[in-house]
Amino acid sequence: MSTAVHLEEERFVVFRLAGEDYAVTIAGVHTVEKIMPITRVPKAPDFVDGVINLRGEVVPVINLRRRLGLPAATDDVESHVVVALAGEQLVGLIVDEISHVLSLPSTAIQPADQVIGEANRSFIQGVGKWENGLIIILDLERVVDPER
Amino acid sequence: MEMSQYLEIFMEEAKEHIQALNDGLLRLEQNPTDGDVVGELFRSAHTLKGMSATMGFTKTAELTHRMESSLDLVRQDLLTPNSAFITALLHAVDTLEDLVESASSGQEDASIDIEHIIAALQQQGDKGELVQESQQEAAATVANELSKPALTVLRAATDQGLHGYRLDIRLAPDALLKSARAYMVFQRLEQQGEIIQSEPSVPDLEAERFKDRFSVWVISGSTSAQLQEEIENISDVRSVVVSPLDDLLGNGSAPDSNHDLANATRLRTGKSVRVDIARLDRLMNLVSELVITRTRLTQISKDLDNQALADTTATLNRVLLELQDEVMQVRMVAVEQVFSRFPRMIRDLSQQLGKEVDFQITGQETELDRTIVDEIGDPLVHLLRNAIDHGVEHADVRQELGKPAKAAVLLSAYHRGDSVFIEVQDDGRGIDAAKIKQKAVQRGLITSQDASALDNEAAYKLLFQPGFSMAEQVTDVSGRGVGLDVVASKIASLGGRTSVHSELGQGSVFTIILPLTLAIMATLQVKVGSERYAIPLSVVDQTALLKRSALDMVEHRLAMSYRGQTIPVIDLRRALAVPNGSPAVEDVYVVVVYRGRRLIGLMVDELLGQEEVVVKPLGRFVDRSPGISGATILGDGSIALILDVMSIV
Repeated sequence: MSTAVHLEEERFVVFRLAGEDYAVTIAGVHTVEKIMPITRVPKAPDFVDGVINLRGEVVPVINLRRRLGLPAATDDVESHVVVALAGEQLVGLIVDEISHVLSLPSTAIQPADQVIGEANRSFIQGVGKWENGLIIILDLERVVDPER
Repeated sequence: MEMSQYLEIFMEEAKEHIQALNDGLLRLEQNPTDGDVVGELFRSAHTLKGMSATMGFTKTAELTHRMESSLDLVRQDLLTPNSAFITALLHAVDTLEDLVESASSGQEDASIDIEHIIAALQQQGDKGELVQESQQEAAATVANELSKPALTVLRAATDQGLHGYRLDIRLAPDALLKSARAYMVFQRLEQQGEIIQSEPSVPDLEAERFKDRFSVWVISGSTSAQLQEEIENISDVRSVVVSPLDDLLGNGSAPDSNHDLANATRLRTGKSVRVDIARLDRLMNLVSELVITRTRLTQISKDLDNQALADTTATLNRVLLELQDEVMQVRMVAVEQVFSRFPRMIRDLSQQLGKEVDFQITGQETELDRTIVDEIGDPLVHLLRNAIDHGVEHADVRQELGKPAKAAVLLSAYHRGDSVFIEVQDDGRGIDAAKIKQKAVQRGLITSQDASALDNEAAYKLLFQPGFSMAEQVTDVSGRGVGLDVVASKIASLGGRTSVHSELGQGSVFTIILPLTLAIMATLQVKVGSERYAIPLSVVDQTALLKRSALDMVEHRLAMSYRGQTIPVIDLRRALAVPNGSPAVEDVYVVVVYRGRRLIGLMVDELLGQEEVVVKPLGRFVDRSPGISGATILGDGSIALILDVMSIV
């Protein structure tokens, strides 16, 4: 065990969605893929666009815009799928574009209710502040919970 | 020392030893003089003791130590295992199981009480009959075992300084050519000495008229360890116990006569390895990826029309098929894994209910995909509990009825074609169809008119309806408000079926029919709108090309006549809410499928042919979608969903 005092830091994958920055913790992210054909699943929860073939694995894909109550994408802005673990289940998240990986000290992360209004708060783990503004950190386990 | 990495291995092995202890004690109860079982039990307790001490689980170590001591008394013939003794040990095993279970956290549960268990074991040890068999008696046993000429030869040989041994040999239960194995044993022994007798006799051994054990008496100058090693090396030999005869005859001690039984019956190891289940799944996934790639390659090779490439692809095909087959085989496990815990359960249950039950298991070597085997435990527990609780009568009632006092309950498994059948059969009171109907009417499941129209078979089916429980009174055993409907739905979710047959007063048979494997499935591929779906071939009865106008409307629902009856037809475009498909055409295909025992038609746009597919789970929150049971990846990398005929509406 190191005895040096250091600031606890966490790393995030930051992506853009409808003009805003969102993030998920990098620990759960498996890969980032270009958008690929999605097979619709009848009568799946409405935030599920369908399933994709991720190198032989069938992975459900979440329409994050719909889930977060954002306007539907126009044209082909949705360009990538972030494949990450939600609990123990691998899911794909459709995003507009991937920005970068960001390290944030834990002091820069605040609970959602201090910053955001009522809407979508239940999917949000916290809000991070960095030089270019705010990023919304998603709690994926809540995002995929059909009961919410 | 960091032990956590060993914890998993400990847990797994400990569970196996606990199972072995359970099994062994039940066998010992049946046959208290079976020395082999005592040896096995002793070894399991001994191994567990060592393992748990190494892991620092002191209570487990203490308890197993006491069990070992008790078993040692039996081993030395100082104690005859009676029922009370077995029960005390079984209780100890239960506590052991609790301890091991609690140890999964890395630490034993300190609140688990082992003192009174140990006291009970002690008491059994004290009050047990002490059997001091004299040397003469033992010698008399040898004399009884051996024929006169053999005995004469033995005496003469021991006078010359040679030694007599009895070898108890057990072959692997699945050994092929058992007579050939016996022949090899004889041949090896003849190199070491002289065979004076065998049981069964040589003609019987040659004709394979024995199960998996036989005994051979030999005279040899070798030590028991040498004989042991010689025989152990023959393949398919499960275990060998070498017992020297010399000291029993009073002719001084044989070489290593005090050879520990624990070492003598050494199980053959090194023929198998433990593999993490996740690895197997990964292997299966890789193979399915290969299958998909192969399909693509085959297509490319066709397009290019290159002979060398086509030949290579064909070879690849063949190898891949074999590989696929092997991987599937690796995933198969014997139902024994689940069955093995039932004898204990039945024993406790019948004692608790004061019923006498003769429980038999057949076909425990039948293999199924492990994903299925993992799931069938609970349904079977349910059926067996039902059989003991509601099926079989008490001994006095049975005798009045002229039945044997001991009820017979049979659990059997066997293969038929692509399916595995598992049956729970009892010779109890049977199921009263009239009573079922009455109950069903009471519960509002059917009207009394419906009831009178139902035949027995149809009435039995009501048992599997939600909310139907036949128990006259709620008992601790099976009247927990969970009915056979849970069994039926669990089995259905595994792609299987459940049925029941009964004769009033004679008994009942519950049958579960399961697919061999879930991982690979023969399907009929269909197109609905622009989407592609796979229908399990196992439920398909027939396909038909019809004019849309040939379909009837019955009470606002589509129907068609098929083999003289009217069957409902489901328009898959509507049922699956297929978006903006091409306009409906006059020619439609109907796939007639079994939904349970009823036939229904599924209306599709196109039939694309049969295909073997690798079944993939859909993922946790998508798999509740009604009508869909899974997905598969096609040759072009696209995904087809697999229809679940049971839940489609």
